[in-house]
Amino acid sequence: MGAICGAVVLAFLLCALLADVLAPYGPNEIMPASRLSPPSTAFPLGTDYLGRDMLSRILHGARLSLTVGLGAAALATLVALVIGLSSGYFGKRIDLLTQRFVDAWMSFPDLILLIAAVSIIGPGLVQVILVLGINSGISGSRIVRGAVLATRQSLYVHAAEAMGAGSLRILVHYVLPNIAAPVILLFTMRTGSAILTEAALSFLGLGIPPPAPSWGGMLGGTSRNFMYAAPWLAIVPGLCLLIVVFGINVVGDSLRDVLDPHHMASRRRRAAARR
Amino acid sequence: MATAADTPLLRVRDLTVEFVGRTSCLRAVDGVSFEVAEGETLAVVGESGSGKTATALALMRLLPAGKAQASASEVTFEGCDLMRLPESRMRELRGNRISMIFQDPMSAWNPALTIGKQVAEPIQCHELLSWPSALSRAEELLGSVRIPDPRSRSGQYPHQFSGGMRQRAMVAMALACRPRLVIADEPTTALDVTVQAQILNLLKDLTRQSGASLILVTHDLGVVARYADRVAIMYAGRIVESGSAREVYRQPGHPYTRGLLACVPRLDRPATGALTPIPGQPPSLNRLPSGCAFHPRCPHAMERCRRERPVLEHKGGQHWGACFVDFHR
Repeated sequence: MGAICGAVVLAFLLCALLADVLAPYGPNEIMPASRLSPPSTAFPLGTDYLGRDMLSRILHGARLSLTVGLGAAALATLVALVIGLSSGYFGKRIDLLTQRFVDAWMSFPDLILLIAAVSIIGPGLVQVILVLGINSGISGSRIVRGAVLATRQSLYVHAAEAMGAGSLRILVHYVLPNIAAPVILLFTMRTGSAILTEAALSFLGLGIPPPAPSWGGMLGGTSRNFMYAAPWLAIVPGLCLLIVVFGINVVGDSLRDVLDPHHMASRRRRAAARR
Repeated sequence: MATAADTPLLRVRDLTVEFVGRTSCLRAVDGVSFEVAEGETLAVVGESGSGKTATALALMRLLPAGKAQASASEVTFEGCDLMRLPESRMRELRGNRISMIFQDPMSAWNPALTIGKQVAEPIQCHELLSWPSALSRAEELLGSVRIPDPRSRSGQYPHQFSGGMRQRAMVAMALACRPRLVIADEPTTALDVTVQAQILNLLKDLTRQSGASLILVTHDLGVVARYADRVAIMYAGRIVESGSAREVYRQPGHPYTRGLLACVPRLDRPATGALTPIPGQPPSLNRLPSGCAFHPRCPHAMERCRRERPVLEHKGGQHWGACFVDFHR
């Protein structure tokens, strides 16, 4: 399962990188003569209400989704690391203050917070990455903090203190490498959720503004009016989102199995019990 | 306690460590005083919970912040008052002038860094050497603790080392910056008996070569006999007897020390049959007996022991003891 989904994610990466080569038409190339044509040899996934080739738009959309996904996940990981490390390592008042802030932040429903933020700073690729990254970084800081708390108690951190290491050295050389596994997981999981949330925002017209070929934007906007007449307008981008996000999440799950020795051991035990 | 040297390397007066809970306050170390001379090995002996480790951690100022408090009228190391030193100066001392070896070599290593890098860290940290030169120093050090093929071994991770090798590498790390004082907190408890002797010999040789003093925290009197110059016996957070290793071994004064020696088989005396254990359990710190903390288990307990607490008194030579019973009976 992990391998299949890995292949799906790899295919998605290739599509995103090679969109210029693979796409038969430009993403915004309008061909009024063939508006709303169903899938055919000329247009493998059909065309939309302006006569734009769906395949080309999907391929370029993959690039957009990838940018948002990786950009937001990277920013989220950075934010989560900064908050989680300082909160978990220094503890006491810093921990109390930051954690109450995180509590307050997490008590708002994500989408409402995002809509509010985007309506303040306006739609656009960079804005969406910023908002998504910071939002999921703040909630992700909990995961980092938990891992830091566990590592902080370990004897090798005490040994490093006894050796005269300063806070920065302990954080970089002792804590960070030992929380790498949950941080890598955080990154993968946040990539999938960022792609999905970007689609939701674009569907609502608050994400990346048209005519950019965002998958969410292709589902929403004017094309909603043609969905009964031309179902491929909804099915194609919807299916792409489903497959890619599912693929990334399964890859994340398999990564956890590989990275987490406890989980691995319990799986092996379960497998042995079954036998 | 008198020592031969004029100014001792470390002088501790009335060290007290308290663990503060929400409702209670446990006194793990209660007014402990001792000195360590240059190049001397002091063994601190006691059962679990007698305050040995708390004493060691208090000297390094590494007690868990907020949970434990240490106070003392004097802790002087090389002329600095360790209790009043700012944290930044303390950090310069740790690993550099004073270093520590932990009990469990299995979990005292960072699993994500190679052994060589970890041994090199205090060197790079305190002597401000570049990484490559610190790493090559680390290789030399690993060779000096008799780790075979130190060059390739230094690139390996802790899990690729055996327990004894990890503890030897720990000794290398502790001695990396040529400290004046090494505190070894039960350095051999987690190891095989055959490996224990190796580690202790190594520690003794290397500290002797560099002229460093050693505080050996242990519960093993066999270790003391062989490696220590002086011994301090702790019971329930206090020193009950101290003296040169010879004095404490040949003429143990305190009934507790006698009890401890009676439960260890001796090779230097004819076998006398069964070993005699000390009856009872060490007291819980939140319910210490009145008077002398040892009286409920003491075969010589008198009425006075129940009422008064004996103080550490000079008993001749370097020998000090805290007991009402005549020491040199």
